[in-house]
Amino acid sequence: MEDNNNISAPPSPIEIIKENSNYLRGTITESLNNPLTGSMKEQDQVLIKFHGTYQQQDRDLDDERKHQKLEPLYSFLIRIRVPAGITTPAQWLALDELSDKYADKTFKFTTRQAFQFHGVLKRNLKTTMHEINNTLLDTLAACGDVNRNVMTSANPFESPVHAEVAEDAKRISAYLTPQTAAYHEIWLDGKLVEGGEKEEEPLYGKTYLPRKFKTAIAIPPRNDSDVLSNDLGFIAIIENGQLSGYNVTVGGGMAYTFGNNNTYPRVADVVGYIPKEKIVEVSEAVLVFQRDHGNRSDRKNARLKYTIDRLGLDYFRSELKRTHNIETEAAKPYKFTTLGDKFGWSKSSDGFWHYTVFVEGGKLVDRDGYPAKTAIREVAKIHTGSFILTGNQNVVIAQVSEKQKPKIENILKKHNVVDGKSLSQLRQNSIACAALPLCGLAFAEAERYLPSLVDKLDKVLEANGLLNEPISIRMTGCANGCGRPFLAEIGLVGRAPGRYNLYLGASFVGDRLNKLYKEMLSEEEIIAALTPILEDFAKTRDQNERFGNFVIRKGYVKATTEGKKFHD
Amino acid sequence: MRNTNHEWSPQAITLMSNNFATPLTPEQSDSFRQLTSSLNEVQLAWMSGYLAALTAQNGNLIPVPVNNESIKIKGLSPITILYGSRTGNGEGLAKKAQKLAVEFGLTAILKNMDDYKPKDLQSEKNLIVIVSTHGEGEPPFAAKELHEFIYGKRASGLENVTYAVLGLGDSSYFQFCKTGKDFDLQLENLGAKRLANMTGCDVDFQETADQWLRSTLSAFSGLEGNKATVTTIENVETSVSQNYSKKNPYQAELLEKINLHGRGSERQTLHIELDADLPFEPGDSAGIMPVNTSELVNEVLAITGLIPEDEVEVKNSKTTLFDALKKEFELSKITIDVVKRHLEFAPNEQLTAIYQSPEKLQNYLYGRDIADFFSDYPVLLSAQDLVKILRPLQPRLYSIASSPRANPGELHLAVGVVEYENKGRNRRGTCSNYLSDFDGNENKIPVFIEKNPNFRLPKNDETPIIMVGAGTGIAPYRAFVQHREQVENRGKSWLVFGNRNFETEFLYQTDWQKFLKSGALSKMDVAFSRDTDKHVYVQHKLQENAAEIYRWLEDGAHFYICGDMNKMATDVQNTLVSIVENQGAMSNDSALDYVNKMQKEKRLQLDVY
Repeated sequence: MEDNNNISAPPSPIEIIKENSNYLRGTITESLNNPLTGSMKEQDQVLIKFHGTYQQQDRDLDDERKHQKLEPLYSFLIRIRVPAGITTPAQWLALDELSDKYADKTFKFTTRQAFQFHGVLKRNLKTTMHEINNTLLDTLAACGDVNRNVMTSANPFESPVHAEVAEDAKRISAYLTPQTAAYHEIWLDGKLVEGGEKEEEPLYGKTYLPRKFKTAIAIPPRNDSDVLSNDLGFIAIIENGQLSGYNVTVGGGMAYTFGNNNTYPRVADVVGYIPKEKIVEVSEAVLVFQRDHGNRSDRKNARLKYTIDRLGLDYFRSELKRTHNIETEAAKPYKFTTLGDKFGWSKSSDGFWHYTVFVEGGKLVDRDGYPAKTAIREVAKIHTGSFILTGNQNVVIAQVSEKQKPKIENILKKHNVVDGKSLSQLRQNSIACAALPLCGLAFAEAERYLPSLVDKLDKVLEANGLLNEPISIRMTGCANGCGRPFLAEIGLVGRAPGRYNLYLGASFVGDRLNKLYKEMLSEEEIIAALTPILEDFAKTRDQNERFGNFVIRKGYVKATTEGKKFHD
Repeated sequence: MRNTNHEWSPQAITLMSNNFATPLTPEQSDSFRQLTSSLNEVQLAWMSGYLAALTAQNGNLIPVPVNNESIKIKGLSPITILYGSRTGNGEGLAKKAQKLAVEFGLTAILKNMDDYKPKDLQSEKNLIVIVSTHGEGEPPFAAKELHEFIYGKRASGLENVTYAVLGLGDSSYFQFCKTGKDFDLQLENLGAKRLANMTGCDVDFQETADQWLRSTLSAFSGLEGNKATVTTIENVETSVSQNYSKKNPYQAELLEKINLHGRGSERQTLHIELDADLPFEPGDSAGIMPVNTSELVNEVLAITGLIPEDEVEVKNSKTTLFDALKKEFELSKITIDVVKRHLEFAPNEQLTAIYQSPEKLQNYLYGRDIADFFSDYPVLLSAQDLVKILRPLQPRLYSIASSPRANPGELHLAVGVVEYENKGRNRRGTCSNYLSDFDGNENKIPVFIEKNPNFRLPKNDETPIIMVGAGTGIAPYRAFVQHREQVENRGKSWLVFGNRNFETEFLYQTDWQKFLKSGALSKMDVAFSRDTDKHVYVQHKLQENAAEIYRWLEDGAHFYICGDMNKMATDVQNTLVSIVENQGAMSNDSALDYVNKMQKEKRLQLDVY
């Protein structure tokens, strides 16, 4: 396997752009200052991702505007990095205002506990970035070939160690943050670094990582951070109510490319246990392994999951020992029971209350009769605790005192914020990526469409007495997997407008991938495909048997035992 | 500099006869020399007039029966026809006058005020002045210097001059034909003798102008001491030109109609493509003859209580009132002449008070249409009375947004759609909405070319150009740049464009991006006034680039301004002077001279409205 250690093919064009970018500067400033287009130069479009922003265009308007002799309506997505997803009410209010002022007046909560603004125009980009930084949050490394936003479970009510784990997430995030001064120079009017002899990226080097690198921590029994879908994961091990250490997981990842079976989603391997003090060191070691061994020629084969499969876990362990003198102990037992969030009020052992708000598709927006964004803003004005974004695109109003609780309840009631618990379990366990119209990768709708599909599936569930049966459903506009569709019991992945691949058979707790059931289905065909299976499920399931397990037992699909067998 | 003087002097002929390079073949040259050497001064002057008229007819031969005897060339000193106009209407009339002069046995020499030495006024004997008026009573640029001169200290002693003035203007403006009136009065004050009363022609000028020219030339021909001499020629009648004109517009097919504004814009600018095989040059305008909406016609009918089927006589033919209102008269605005005729028809104290105060009148006219007018000042009248009061519908002029080189047989326009609400009624600009509503199924759009000789690309393709335009003022630059794209050795070009919003009102954005990529356009700056709270306009972009602008000017760049006169042109001109002053380290006076000289040399050209 060491034969494959060095990839002999030439580096990908993106590698060249990084190499020549002078630590992510490129000609971003020049692109920003060009008043004749709302877009960035191509190379700068690559580089700005490292700064936390993507160029997008409103694809709904492309044809119309071309006819009008106008360029596409370009705008920018800004992803705000929020380690562990925790913000203060003051930060919330500031971001809420920015979203109204410069973005499309909505929040998108990502599946990685980040805030996303959409529709920011190029001419407002710098100001928006600057003002985000004024809230003491930032966007650096929210995208790009670096370590992304570090996630954790958002369940303070279930575990007293939540705060400690959140601190670990922040430490990893801080340690793995790129050091380049380009971010300050470009967005914050920072001065150019004098001399220039200083090495800017001691950890990453000039070309950063071969591909994105995702890190998450989960606190069992809840796997709401979908830890096994990450390049690097930590499963908190709690002994006698105390955090003792973590099981380390490596090589998870969702994306694959249609038609290319050398690409596949992969559930991470659990490689062993480390004491909690070592978490940052291990993070560095894994990142360095991927930095030095990842494939820099073919970006479709560049994630850590492929590096691990190419070089093997033994080699991986030996490298950890060689570079950082790290040896893991045997993994400790843990048990996940769910991927989802628990809606409504919960009380933690410290006496505080926490309220999880269901945000469909992670899109917090004021709708007619349901001014959800306003509701949370009003809460933020009086809230003394924190807000925690969840890995399921929802938000927890956390650390509410007994005294504050009725006030917040009042506000929520006044704005018709419904308790997620009143919704079907399918809807409660749904995730959708942003997709059309702004995402350039999407083949089909997701966020705008899933709610209405769930309406229809709810009817099938209701007819079969399954409304209260937790089943996870995730829809994405493409196979890149932002919504982690391959870990859903019902996975729907866009192939063409109105057409989806249907995947079945993932576990409910995020430790087994699903399998392609049928391809290119229309809405009618999706419902027609699922109805008999759900009917069968209602009639012939074993007690407490999950839908994902049922479809395998009954032979609707074969179980996917590892990533490489996803296409089998 | 462009020579618009069509006079052929005897010196020029001498030059030719000395084998000076001519476009003639040796045989033609020989016969030409033979002919001209036998002519006396008067004959030569006649011939020059004839040839000039021939040129004006675009080569359509005027029959010249040289062998009979009914027209007499008189011994009167040649008449100088001194014209000053912006659009070319004045020049056209001057050429016509020169041609007509032949009929009256007179000779005439054309002179453009732009090239005219004011001092020469003293030595004129017979003078016809044709001059237009623009905006709030201003002379056209070509007439500016002469107009200033006749009011200055150095002007005097015109006792030997016999003159007549023809004014061109638009009676919907307050100062109708003011420049013509100025010339008429001031020439008299300076001692010249008025031969015929000054007449002001409205936008529909042809008929009035023809009449005046004939009667005036007849008066000149009757002047004492005029002896008939030599050659006699008969019946110089112009053959009817088949060229399309305002009177005989081309019926164009609509090829394309697109709103150039993206979603979210409160306004519309239509990009119109017409299948119109008309000869024009970049910088020219297209005249469109619109019709009124039936909605507005019905409103006017309802208010006046008249019946649509009533018969009326318009331009010597009978039609229904409905058709007349739809096709022949202005309904979407009230103009001063209409107020005047209304008062003549039905005196009204209140309206008289408004009419007599320019300020009140302006306020009253703003945003009102004919339906408002007859609702505010109702009067019992017949259908024929109504059409007598109304103003004939005028074609609307739009700068052409395409080059015939790039789009042969086509003509593109950028038309701002005027639409607003006033007094609870929806108001729509006549022509922009005629085009906006036009479905192109059965009908054609009547269009003609209005030459704009004062808005032209430099003769030399290598001369740099700076183009400043706001809103639809960008239209002629699309023609300019399209034209230059077809040229091999083109000079640098710089476009400065302003509008309200980048995302939705960047007119022809992708065209400019392509031109920049191909090199047809070298540089572009944009100002979008509502994108920030700073209200950035084109003049601010010029100021930001002051050093480079001045460098281009010093390199001989031509500078163009197109767009709204009040809002933009003045600011841009002032900015230009300030740039020259600061960058050239000169006094304000010298900077003004610099810019005036540019204008004089036609390096600064305006197309404003």
